[in-house]
Amino acid sequence: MDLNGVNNFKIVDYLQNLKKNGFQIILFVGRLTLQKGPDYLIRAIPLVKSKLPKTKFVFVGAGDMFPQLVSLAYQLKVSEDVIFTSFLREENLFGVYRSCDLLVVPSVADPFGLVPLEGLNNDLPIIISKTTGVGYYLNHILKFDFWDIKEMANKIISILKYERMKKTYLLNSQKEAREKFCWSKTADQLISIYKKCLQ
Amino acid sequence: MPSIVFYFKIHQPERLKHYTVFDIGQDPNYFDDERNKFYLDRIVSKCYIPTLNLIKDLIKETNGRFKVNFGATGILFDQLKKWHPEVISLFKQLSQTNSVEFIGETYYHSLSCLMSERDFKEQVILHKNLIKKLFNQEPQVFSNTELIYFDQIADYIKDLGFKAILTEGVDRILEWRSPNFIYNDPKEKIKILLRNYKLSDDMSFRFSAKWWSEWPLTADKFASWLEAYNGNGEVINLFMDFETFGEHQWPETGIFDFLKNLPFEVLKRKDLEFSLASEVICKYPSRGIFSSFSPVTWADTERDLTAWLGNEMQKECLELLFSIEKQIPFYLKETWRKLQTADHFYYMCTKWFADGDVHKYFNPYDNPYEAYLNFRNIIEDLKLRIKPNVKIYIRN
Repeated sequence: MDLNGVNNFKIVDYLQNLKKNGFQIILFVGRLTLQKGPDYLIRAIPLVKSKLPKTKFVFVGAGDMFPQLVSLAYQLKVSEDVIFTSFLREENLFGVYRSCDLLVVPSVADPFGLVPLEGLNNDLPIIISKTTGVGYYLNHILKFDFWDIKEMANKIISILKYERMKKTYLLNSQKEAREKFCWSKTADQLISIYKKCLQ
Repeated sequence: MPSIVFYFKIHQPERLKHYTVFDIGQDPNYFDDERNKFYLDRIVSKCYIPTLNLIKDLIKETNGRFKVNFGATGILFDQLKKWHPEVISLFKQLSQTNSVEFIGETYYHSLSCLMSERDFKEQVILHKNLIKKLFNQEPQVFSNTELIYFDQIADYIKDLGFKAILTEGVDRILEWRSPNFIYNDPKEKIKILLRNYKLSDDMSFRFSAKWWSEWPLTADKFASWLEAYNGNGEVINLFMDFETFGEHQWPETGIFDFLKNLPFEVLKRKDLEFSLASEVICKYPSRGIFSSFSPVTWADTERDLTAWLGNEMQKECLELLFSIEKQIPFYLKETWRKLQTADHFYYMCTKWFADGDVHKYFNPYDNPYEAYLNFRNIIEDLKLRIKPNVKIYIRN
């Protein structure tokens, strides 16, 4: 898939180049399916662009909604602002994470969702829909209703605009995520459950 | 004979409405009247009316020997005037008993003392004038927002004619000394009354705590604790939020019965009395110097400013707000001052939030970042409004 003439393997260079030219980049990572709500993010693009014209939106992932999303972007006249990369393997994906300014997770329904934690792990501030499961465990995260396009856009713009808050927000979200989702801690908990069962 | 000084802080902020980036330059109204009225209705019926009526009865039944001090902010009176004038009438009736004293405050429960001496003084004078107008009293004693105190405040309020200030009996400053005496600032300009946080918190926080070894707290037991200070203290300062009665401690906890019985339990002990703040500062001399270069407050265990200015977001917002002080035109001054209210900064506090233990009491936000974004968008709008060549609004 190479919608905007961007070769997958050079995507990181391309994004870095955009940043050098003063663009801010908003990222979506996930299957392009109804469940993940990519269409809601596309609907928010005109609103974001109305306040922050120098923004681009990267969609990493593949799925059956792809043709519909292309069509929607065209209808909303934002095709030039949207980059579809299709599925990316880890090395490229983490490079993309590190080249962006904000990760948006607009899931309609997601029992947990690892993408937000990946984002935080790659030093990317995140905002998530209230129906993204991981939000249940994290307090230091801004949330929105997936259907509330205006509020999603409000939060995207605000985070990109207010630099001092962005730093505090990222640091606190990362700290909380690392405290709550640490494999060694989870393994310890599991071991203690086993031990209880054996007693 | 120790004098018991009751001081009730009475305040409700004007909370902000949801204000997005799309509202900047479009919407000059920042405050959520509907929500503010909703909270005020609740607090008036659960706390203000029943407690003020009870205090009125207690003053009558004790022939004026039960005495209390009120620190009510101007921003609260403005809201009461609009939606609950009957509460102001009750305060007026109480003010005529000679057993009630109104303490000076900043009008908008503002953090201005940290940023602008000029605006701080103007707000204190505004509040003083309001108390004079409503109750024909001239406050002699001052209580800063959240009991903030540092040595310079003594100079500020001395200039404004106050004789004393209330603040927290902070252990790290008192060290071995007791809060149950009157102190002076280092220049000996004003007297300082220190909150006995242990006894105050026994009433306001631990009263209904079943894990507490002293639960249930009865008026008799509490009065006996007060009596134990006889010979080892001159004033026992019990400072707390007025919302303790009926809101922080629900009626089911027995808080109203406790308050109903306490004056009689205290007064039947011949060594105890209730006093007004201005009475104790005349009655007792200062027993030492209470000095703090950095601000102390009555908040949390730290007793510092970190609840309001503990993170970058809070600091940025306060700095931005005061960076435009000189450009604020007369017609926007009230709005600008309402934004100084400490509660707006409190909502942005992140220090409790990691455990999900957000201070949710009447907090309109889901998290501190929402509070920041809302406030920050409003400042952006305010900055637009003070630009001389931008005519985007009709003056409101």
